Amino acid sequence: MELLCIRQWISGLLPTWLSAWCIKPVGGALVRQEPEYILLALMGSPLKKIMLCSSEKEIFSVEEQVMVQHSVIINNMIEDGSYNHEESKIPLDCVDSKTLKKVIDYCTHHTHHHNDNQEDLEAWDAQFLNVDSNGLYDLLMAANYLEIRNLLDLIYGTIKNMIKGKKIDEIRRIFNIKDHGFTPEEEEQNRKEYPHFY
Amino acid sequence: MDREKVDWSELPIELWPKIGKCLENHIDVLRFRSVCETWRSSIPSSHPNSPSFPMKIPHPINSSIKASLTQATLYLIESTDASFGSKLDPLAPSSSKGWLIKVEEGPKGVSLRLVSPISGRKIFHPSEDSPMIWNLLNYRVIELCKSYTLQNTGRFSASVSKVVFFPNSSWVGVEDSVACCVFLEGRLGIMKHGDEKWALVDDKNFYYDDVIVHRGQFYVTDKWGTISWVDTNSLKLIQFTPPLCGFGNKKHLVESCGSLYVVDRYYETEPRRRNYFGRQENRDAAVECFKVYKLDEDWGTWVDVKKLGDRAFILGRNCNFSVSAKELTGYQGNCIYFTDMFDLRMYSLDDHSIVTIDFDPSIEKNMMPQTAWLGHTI
Repeated sequence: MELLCIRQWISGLLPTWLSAWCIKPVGGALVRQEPEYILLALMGSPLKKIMLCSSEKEIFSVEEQVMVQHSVIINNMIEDGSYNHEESKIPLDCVDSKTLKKVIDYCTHHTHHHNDNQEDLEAWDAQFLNVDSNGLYDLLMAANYLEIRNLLDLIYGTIKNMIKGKKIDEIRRIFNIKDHGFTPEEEEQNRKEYPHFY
Repeated sequence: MDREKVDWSELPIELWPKIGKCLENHIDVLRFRSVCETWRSSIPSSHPNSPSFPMKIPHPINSSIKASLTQATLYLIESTDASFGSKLDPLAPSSSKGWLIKVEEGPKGVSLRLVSPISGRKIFHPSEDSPMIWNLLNYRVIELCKSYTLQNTGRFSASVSKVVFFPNSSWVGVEDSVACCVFLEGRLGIMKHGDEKWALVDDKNFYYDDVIVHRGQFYVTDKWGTISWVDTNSLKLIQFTPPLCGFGNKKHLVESCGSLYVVDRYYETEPRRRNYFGRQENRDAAVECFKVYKLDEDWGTWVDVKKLGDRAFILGRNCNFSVSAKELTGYQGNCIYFTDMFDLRMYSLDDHSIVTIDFDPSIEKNMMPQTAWLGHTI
């Protein structure tokens, strides 16, 4: 049966307050979610899944709503119809399996636990980002590619804490920056900009 | 299969500005720009119109003359490994703890100077012949907070007991900044950048003791300890806490670990009434004790705080702050450091005793290198 008819029928049944309630954040903006999906979920229908394919050709199945809520790229793909539920998988060639699994964990946790109190969420996030420098780099690249705003902000905050309070050569070591690219004159200029006293 | 450590310079170049803009403190921005050429070119050193000090603003009392708002920054210098520091390195701490310095910025072109974090007095180098340059670039430095002083020229003496200024970030233009002060006689003044004179808030009342910036807003406390929020748009006070009814003589606001505390100072004798042209501190008054209160924001009630644990509160001359004593040399936890007349004193919440400390914790002894100190007897 045409999904369109079902949707219109369900929309007609919904009270206004439920329609108004159906807003979700996508990529930092609030977007109205199709209330009929919520109702279908409430009625116990199986939630739609989508397939994501890592660079190592491993397939991950994840709830569509979870990824659509967090990733602007995936949301755009679903909305403009370029993704066909029955056949396709979304290829993510620049994200390896380990990182993709972590990204999916992040999005899933934040969708299902968004009503938890702030402290618990922050503790979970801190645990989630307890990774080495390589892992953080991969997560940052993946979050940037998929345009997951809140994960990006979280990672920026972590990087900020890695920089704060450290000496310059320590920062270069952490981020494995081998060549700083300054001339001796520029380095001297940098020194002068720093607070110094006699 | 072990992967080689990734080279972060392969990160897409458009991400560095976003990371750089997360850093708010000026010293963090400087540090970011000193790491490598890519990072340096990704962000400017500051907003072209960010606040710069000293700043000329109208005098709070006589708006026809200009006063100078100066800024000082409190830094926490963290210890480094023994291999980095050496006995001759003047700022290398002797233990694994870090320490506190307060740096006051002089007028343009003049070097910065060290002042005591508690008393605000300038720290003099014992030898003028061989000045050593200490560049903060060589140390692990964290900015703790900023404090402000209003210095004036002419015959009007310093007429404010406390002034605060917000926002003071590298990324915000000064036109958005607001200064808030408590006058010596207890009135509250506000000035937005660009105003020609200070405006009084709640001008009928003369009993404000302290002002602080907390979570980006101005909060004041009156002589009873009740905290109000200052609405800078309407210039009105909105009561933020239930009445405290602290019976001490002077209230101080301290922020510690994200919460607001009121520290109530009890003098032994009733101090003289504050004077319009008066002195900053009550010279006759000696402190008897302190009581500390914390606002329980969930229940909206005051909690009597008997123990500060590892934290030490410092009631400095121009700003109040708290530190973790186990990370710093010279400070003890569960204590309040303050000035009383000209002395530096420490109140312990354990046994309610007060001792006069003969040096600014961790400053005088560690600042000057051993060899230089011994070589130049005073």
